[in-house]
Parts: sequence; structure tokens; C-alpha cells
Amino acid sequence: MTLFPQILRKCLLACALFIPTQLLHAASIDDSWEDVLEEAKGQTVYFNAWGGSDRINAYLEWVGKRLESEYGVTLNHVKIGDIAEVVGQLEAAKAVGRDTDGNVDLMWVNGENFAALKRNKLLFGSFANVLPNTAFVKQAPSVTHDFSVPVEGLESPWGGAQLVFIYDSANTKTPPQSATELLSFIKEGGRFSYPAPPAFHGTTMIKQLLSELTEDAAALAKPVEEADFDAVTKPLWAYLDEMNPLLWGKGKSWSTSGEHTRQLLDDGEVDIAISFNPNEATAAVKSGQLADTVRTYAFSEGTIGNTHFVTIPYNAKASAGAMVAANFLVSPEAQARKADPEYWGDPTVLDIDAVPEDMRAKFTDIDLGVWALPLGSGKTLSEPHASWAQALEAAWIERYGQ
Amino acid sequence: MPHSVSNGRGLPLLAAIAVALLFSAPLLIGLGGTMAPAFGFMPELAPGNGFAQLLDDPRFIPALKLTIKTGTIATLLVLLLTILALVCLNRTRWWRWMLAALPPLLAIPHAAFAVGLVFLVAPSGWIVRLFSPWLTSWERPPADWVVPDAGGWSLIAGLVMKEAPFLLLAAAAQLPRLNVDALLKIGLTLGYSPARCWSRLILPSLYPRIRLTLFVILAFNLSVVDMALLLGPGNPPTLSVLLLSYVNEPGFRAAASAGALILAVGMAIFFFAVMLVERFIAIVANRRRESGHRGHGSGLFRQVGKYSVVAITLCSVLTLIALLLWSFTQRWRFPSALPDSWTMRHWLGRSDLLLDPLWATTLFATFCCIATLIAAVVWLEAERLGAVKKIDWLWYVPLFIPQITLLFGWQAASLITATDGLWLTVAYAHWVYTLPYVVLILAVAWRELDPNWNNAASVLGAGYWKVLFRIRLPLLIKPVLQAMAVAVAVSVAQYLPTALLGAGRHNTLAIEVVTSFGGVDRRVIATLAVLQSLLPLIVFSLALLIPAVIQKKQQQHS
Amino acid sequence: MKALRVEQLTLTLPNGVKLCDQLSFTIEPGRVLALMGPSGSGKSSILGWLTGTLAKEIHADGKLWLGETSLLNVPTEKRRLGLMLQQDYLFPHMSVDQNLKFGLQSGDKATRERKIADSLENAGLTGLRYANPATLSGGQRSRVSLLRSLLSEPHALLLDEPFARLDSQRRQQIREFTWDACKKLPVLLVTHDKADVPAHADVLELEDNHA
Repeated sequence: MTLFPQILRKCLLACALFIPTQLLHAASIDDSWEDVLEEAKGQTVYFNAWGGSDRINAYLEWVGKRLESEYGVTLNHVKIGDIAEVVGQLEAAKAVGRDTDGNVDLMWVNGENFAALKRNKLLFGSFANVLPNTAFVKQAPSVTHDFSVPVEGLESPWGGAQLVFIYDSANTKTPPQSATELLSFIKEGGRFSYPAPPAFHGTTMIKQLLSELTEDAAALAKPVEEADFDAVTKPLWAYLDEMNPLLWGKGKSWSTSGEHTRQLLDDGEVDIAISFNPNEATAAVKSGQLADTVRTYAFSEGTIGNTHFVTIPYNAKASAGAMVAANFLVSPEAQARKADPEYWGDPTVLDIDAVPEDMRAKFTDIDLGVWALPLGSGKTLSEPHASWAQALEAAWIERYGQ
Repeated sequence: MPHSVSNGRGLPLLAAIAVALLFSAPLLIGLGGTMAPAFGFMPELAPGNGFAQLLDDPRFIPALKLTIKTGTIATLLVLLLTILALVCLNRTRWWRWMLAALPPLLAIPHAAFAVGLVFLVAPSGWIVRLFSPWLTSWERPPADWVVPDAGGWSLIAGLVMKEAPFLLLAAAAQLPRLNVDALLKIGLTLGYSPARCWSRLILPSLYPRIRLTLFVILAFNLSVVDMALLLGPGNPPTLSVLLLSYVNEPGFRAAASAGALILAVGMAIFFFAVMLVERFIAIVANRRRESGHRGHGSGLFRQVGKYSVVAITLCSVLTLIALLLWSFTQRWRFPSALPDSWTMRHWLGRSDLLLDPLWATTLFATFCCIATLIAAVVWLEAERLGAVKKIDWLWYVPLFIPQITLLFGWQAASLITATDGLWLTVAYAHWVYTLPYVVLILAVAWRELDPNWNNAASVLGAGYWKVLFRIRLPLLIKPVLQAMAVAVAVSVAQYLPTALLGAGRHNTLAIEVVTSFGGVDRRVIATLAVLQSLLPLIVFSLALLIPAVIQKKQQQHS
Repeated sequence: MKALRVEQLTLTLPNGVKLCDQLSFTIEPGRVLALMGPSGSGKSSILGWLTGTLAKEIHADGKLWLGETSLLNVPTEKRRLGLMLQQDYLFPHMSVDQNLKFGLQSGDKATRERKIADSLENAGLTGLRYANPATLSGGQRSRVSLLRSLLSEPHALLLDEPFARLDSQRRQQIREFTWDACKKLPVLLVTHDKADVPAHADVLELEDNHA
């Protein structure tokens, strides 16, 4: 057992908190990568990332171990419920003038939270462009534009995601293939729940429904201020007015996350779970969280997909360490492990063909299993502009959240 | 004649003032740090008019209503259940079992208990599984209710099951002073049924003695955060939970602070209202007592009361067993009454997942246990030596001010002074919330200990410290250990101070259980919750065992 | 009024010791039976059995009659056997008036008020009607306690060392008051003091069980 050294380490860490921390001069983007590596040695990187999945947490434990041994960087996963909280904390820090030695060195982010950070100038800089491993990244549209907001190297891509549905083929023979079919499915007694926005899976589900139901799909690609919100969203509310009372919780209680719907699926309280990871079901079946008979699918006309990123706040204390960590996260080694449902099963952002040849097999050998979304089966729709999320969340809460 | 240190009262006075200052400074800073943003005195940190923002939010009024509903009903049910248990169980063979079950139930952290309760009462929960399909003919979980429900009843159930043991223990501790047996004998021979003897003779004397505890419970029920996050409705949530979501939302700190003040003031008004109701009930009860009505003492009432109390206690115990089962489950699908396959994986497979938070929790708990004991002894000694006066109300302050009202302000102050996220800041907050229990538990025994013990030792030539460490503390070993155990239990259960002041860096078991709920693998949460419950249970057992062992050893020697 | 009759009462402790063996007695209305014996001889347990408040560990066997009615399966509150203990147990949260009203059976308000006024007057306590029991002397409290019992209209009265706590001056006065007040009832007096026993009483001596 490694229990004792671990306790010792924690002990030292606890003591270290009492010692005035030495002043660290922040890394700059113009430094050479060697300088960054040098400076990062011995730094502790506080990585604020959603901590709601123990598989992801375990993956980050592994990342921490690798960073420690390879680069002498200590990674500390700060588990949070919603990254918007961290955005708020950064705004508060800026308001009280805490412009150095911030609490957050690296954060997991995308979409409207990235937009808010960028808009309020809370970001460190175009660090992603100088990370050596960025060379392997596949320059897809969702990588260069995060929810239609230009990325400009301010964040480094970490993984891909797509809205998918999981059902138990032993109970449900023909799962609904579109928003309209979903409503009929529920009307015929099918059990369903989507998390209440602003929970991330809930907001995504609303966006999916909106993009299918609206008569003005083009408006979604532009900022919400430029659209006639009421007109664009009218069919969505009509649809939800009809659907919500028939849901799990009768439109009064809501599931809290995609993972919650997955648990409800296994309990038999719902028939279809929502996930943003095409390979989640495989991991869940293997760990005993879902039945062997579950399958994953996307709507026949496609579902919303996006890329998620990591970024460094403007007042990060260990920015060099954070850059080293971000670089490791897009390394073929880390990406291959992440893509494997055995560990996480999050689709890679790398271009397999650009990866050094000896690493390619690590990606191609991954067995996704029959439970995951079959490769190439789900068309990906792009996210609406980042500004839509908040507007939709506010409108949803106004209507159904009280 | 009390023995005192050589330099008189100076040193104990200074030490006691230090304790009182350390204790009250965060209370003042916290209140100030909440008031300033609420009234617009911190425009950088909290722009805008908080009260206006709050009233603008359509969720505010429903959240307030929900809070009053759940807090009031839960507290009334706690009182009702306590009375039922006293009237229907006291002097039956169930009573001893009941009293034995209470301390462990009390020691279980709220968050862990809430997690277990969801496993128990959900449509696919254990109770339904136990009776399906052979009795209910349900092949799938019913769709008639969900947990947590929108009406707040799951939250009420959780609060009642967790707080009733607290009040019942407080009441049971008072019974020996009330001459219950004699009062019952007199009442019965005057022709009153047992229930009427309780309501007319015993409760009027008992109520004033448990009133303060009841008010602490009411304050808790109206402002609880962790249990409301796990068991309360989401749309809208209770006021505390809504305010907590504001604090982390950009630009909403003013609203959060304003809401926290409204909660505190509302609570004060509510207490006043409760006192009026007490008056009214006292008048009515007086009338009824004078009427001489004997009524037809119905045995049915006692039977129903007895079995409902037993059933609720059983549910609490089942909750804990459900947690334990899930922590060893590989697969457990509806409607199996027991897991389909078992595993030790959650306990052994991922040691880091358990050990890291366990370590963080233990560190805070150990610190709290030692630091509160020292502070309490310093204060009580100063009090005994006449250096300071008895000021018990001070210790109740943090128990009556909603946690969010204090902690929002403390968090704002910690942001400004860049002390947020420090281990010491979080430990300090734990200390402040633990100290009241330790002082109040220890004070009873400390003040009652016969001063002649001190004198006898001093006459034999023992100095102050020798008397303290060789006579006083060993004589009071039982209450000292109990106070230490309570300190551990309170620290282990702290969610909000750790969450707000820890900047997410101190992942205690309480934090893990609350934040991972709804997301992480149920079996892992169950394991975390069992672990969180085990800590206080172990410490309470030690607090019982150690004095017994010491006593046995002494007997062997003699 | 009816007679209180005990037949063949045997009380056995868990350790097998018999507190009383085959005890039988009858108390006619207006008669006093004094149950005497050293402490530990089971006097209080017999009272407990009579009122139905005996500790569950003690095994009891015997019959209890009030007139022709068996009281054994009647709950304590329906037996209507008045009880006076060594302590007076005036309820501290009620005034003298309220204590008496608590004892008094319900009924017409004017009648109840009059009964209380009358009984207080007989006891020489009129001025203390609205006093707090804590302000009364031992003798006064003792009288109020007896009045409270009598006002509940018991079918018999059981007295457990009722005078033991009073100072010697008061004691004689209260004894007389008591015997005078329960003239019409069967009365069982438990005491270890011969002076407590009135002249007209029958006496039953219990053995010492410590032997």
C-alpha cells in the first residue's frame, strides 16, 4: 500500500500552507518551451474541473501522476459542480484587484463560459498556439470556433462531445429518432426526463429541440441579440408546454444532470438517458452501472456536438505549470487513454493521421463496444452561438422554473 | 476557596478574552461582510442593488414560501414525534431500544443520511423493491412520485428523521429531573389517561427545558443547505440553496447578501411568532387543565403513536443499511430486494478516491477536536476562577444565525484578504461552528464538579496545572470525551464552511458526498457516505469505551 | 360506597423472594386498614399493585375487588383509587385552584367552583386559593394534596406514608384532618409509624423480607 507516503505528502502539503508562498514570476507566452518547462518544475497547478464523474476524476489522477513524474508539476484537481461558478469567482477577483496569485491555474471550459471569460478579459493569452502538441490537433470548425466564438489560441482543445441518447434495448424496441418522435414516444407512456437548465445536459437538450423545431435555424448561428428571440423560440415553448407535464417528475421535479438520467435509466424510472459522450454507455456497462442490453444512438437527422477546452485565467499563479499540463492533455498518450472507454471514452481532438506512427495504434485499437454510438452513425450539428445558452436558460427558468 | 494561578486572575482573563475574541470576530466580520454588499457598500465586489435584484428574481418568493413550509412543518413534526415517543414509548420495553438507537442516528452526517434516504424512498428505492412485485405487482418502478419531490416532502422527511433524535435525546436527558413516575402515578389515580398525564402534567414542565433545543432545530431547518441540496426541490430550491447559487453567479453577490440578511431577519420574526403561538397554546392548555375532563383515554392512540415512532426509527436504520448495501453492490436492479451481485471494488479498488477526502476530513476533525477542547477548557476555567462571567448566550449565536448569513460575509472578507482556500481559514470556520457544542456540553459537568476535589488536591500540595490535568480532567473524562466526539461529528458534517471558504481545495467527505450526488456512480457515493458516517460512529464508540476500559483497569488494580 | 377486597395476593421478585404471600384483607367503607412493616417489606409494591402501577419485573398473583367488580383488568385511570404519597406532588405549574380543578371531575362550572370553595373552607385554606403551591407550608400543601384526591371522587383512598415529611407539630393536626375528611371511604394506610394509625383502624403487620 502506498498509504503512508501519501499521508506524509499530505502532511507536508498541509504544513506548506502555513509558510508564506515564495513569489513566482509568471510565465510569458514569449518564453521558449524549454523555459516554460524549467519554470514549471515544482509548481502546483490548481485545475478547476467538473468533478461529477469518478471516471473523469480517476483519469485526472492519472494525469497528475504522469505530470509529477515527467515534468515535476503537481496537479491538484479542484472538483467543482459548474464552471460558471469559477467564472464568477474570477470576476470577483478582478473586481477586488486580485490580479496575481489567483486560485485557479487551469480550468475546463467551453461555450458561454469561454465567451464570458474572453469578453471580460479574464484569460491569460494565446498560450495554445505555443504548445508543442497543438501540432497534432485536428483543426475542425468546432476547434477554431467555440460556439461560434473565435478561439484564437486562448483555450486549448481537450475533447469532443456529441449529444446522444442511451436506452435499454430489452425494454424499448424502437427509440424515438427526432424531437417530434420523442414527444409521441412520451405521449404513449414512454418515460423521459431532461435535466433542468442551467444544468449543462438540460441546456443542450433544449438547444437540440430548438434547432429541430425552429423555423429560422439560421438565426441560431448569430448572437441572440440579433434575432427575434420570441419568434425563433415559439415552437420550442409550445413543444415543452406539451411535453413537460408528461415527464418524470411531471414537470415539477427535474433530474439534475445527464448522469442522473443514466442512473434513472438503470433504475427503470426513465426509458432514455441523455449523455454528451458517445462512449459513456460502454464505460458504464463495463463498470456495472448499466445493463448489458443498453445501446446508444443519435437522432437520425443528427445531434448537437462541440469541443471542450482547457484555459488559463489571467491571474493564474502557476501559469507555466498550467501550460505544461495543457500540453500534456493534448499529447497522443493522454488523448489515447482518454478516448478509451476503459478509462473515460471521450472522443479525441487529435488528427490520428498527424500523430506519430507508433502512437496511432493506440487510437485504432480502442474497442468502443456495442454499447457506444456506432462510429459514423450520428451526424453532428453545430452549437448555436454562445449567447443563446444564457437566453434560453433564463427563458426556461421564467416559464418552468418556479 | 478556589485555587488560582500564582499571578491571580490576569492570565485566565487574557486567555478567556482571546477565546471570546477568536470566536466572535468571524461572527462580526461575517455579518459585516454580508451587510456591506447587501446595502451597496462594496460596489466592486457586489455591484447593484441586492434587494432589487432579489425581488426581480421570480424564484425568490416561491423559494421563501418553500423554506417557511419545509422549516415549519419539519420542526412541528420533530416536536410531535418527540412527544409521541415520550408518551407512547416511555415506560415500555421499546424505550431502551429507542434510546440506544438515537446517538448513532444523531452522529450520522446529514448529507450521508440524505443520500441514503433517497435510496430508500425513491420509486425505485429499497422500500418499493422490498415489496415488489410480490405485493405491489409492480414490475417497473411506479411513476406516481419522484424523489426529491417538488413539494419539499422528501426534505421534510429527512429533516424530521435527522432532528427528532436530537430533541428526543435532549428531552430524555431532562426526564430524571421531572419526577415522571410520581407525576404519572398521581395523574393516573386522579383518573387521567397516560396521554393526558403527559400533556397536562409533564409536558408543561418539560417544554421550557427543551425549548432552546427546539429553537436551534427550527433555525437549522429554516436555513439548512446540504440536506436541501440533496433532498429539496430544485425549481425553485429553498432560499438558502437559491442564495448559494447566487454567490457563485457573476454580479449576484449583492442579491445573495441581501437574501442572507432577509433570511436572518425573517428567522427572528419567525421566532417571535412562535413565541406568540406558545403563549396562545399555554392559555388554551391552562383552560383545558382546569376543566377536569377525563375523556376516554384511547389505547388506540398509544398503539398508533408507538408503531409510527418505531416505524420511523426503523426507516432511519434502513437508510443506513441501504447505504451499506450499495457500497458493496456490483449490480442491483429493480425490483430485486437485495443486490444481484456484490463487489469490494468500491472500498478497495480506488483507494485515492476514499483516502484523500478521508484524510482531509480527519485533519479538520482532529484540529477541531483539540482546538475546541483547549478553548472550552480555557474559557470554563476562567469562568470557574471568577475571571469572566458566564455568558452562555454567546455560544448560541452561530447556531441561531443562518450559516449562509455569516459565511457569505466571511467569504467576501477572505476574498479581499486573500485568505480564501487556506487550510487554516477552513479549519477556523470549523472551530467556530464546533466550539458552541463543546463548551455547552462541557459546561454542565465542569460547573457541577464538586470544588472540594480541587481543594483536596491543593491541600496536598498540587499546583494549578497538576490539579487541572491530574484531578479535574480525569474526573471529567466522560463529558470531555463526549464533547470531543461531538466536535468530530460536527466537523465531519460541515459542508457549507468548507465549500465557501475552501475555494474548492479542501475536498472533505462532506464536500464529496454533496457535490458528487446526482452525477457520480451511486455505489461510490454510498461508499463515501458510509465512510463519512463511520468516522463519528467510531469516535462516539471510543468515547463510550475508553472510560469503561479505564474503570475496569482501576478495578483490577484495587 | 363499596368495600375494597384483596384475595390471596402473592408478589414475587425476579430473584424469587416473596414480598407477600397469600395476603387477603377487606376494607369496608369508613374503615381504615393500616399496613405496617419495616422498609423493604413490600408495602409500596402492594400499593403499586392496587393502583396498577407495579413495576413489570415483580410477578403478581391475586384478586382485587371493589364491591362485586374486579379491578384487575381496569387501567389505573379507571380504577378511581385515590393515592397520596409521601411527597405531596402539587403540580408546580398550576395554582392551588388549578391543582384542585385538575382533580375535580368535569361538570357545571358554578358547581365546580362551589365545591372547591367549600372544600378549601373546610380545610381552613380559603385565603390560599389562588396561591402558588411553592409558597405554601408543608402542612398546607399536604391538605391541598388530600383535597385534590378527594375532589376526584375516588372509591377508596390509598395513603403511602402521608405524614412522614411533616414536622411533628403539624403532623397530629393533619392526621385528624385526614381521618375526618375520608370518613366515608375505605382507606388503606401504609406507614411504619404507629402514631400515624388512628384508634379505629385495623392493623396488618408485614414481615421483614431482608431476613
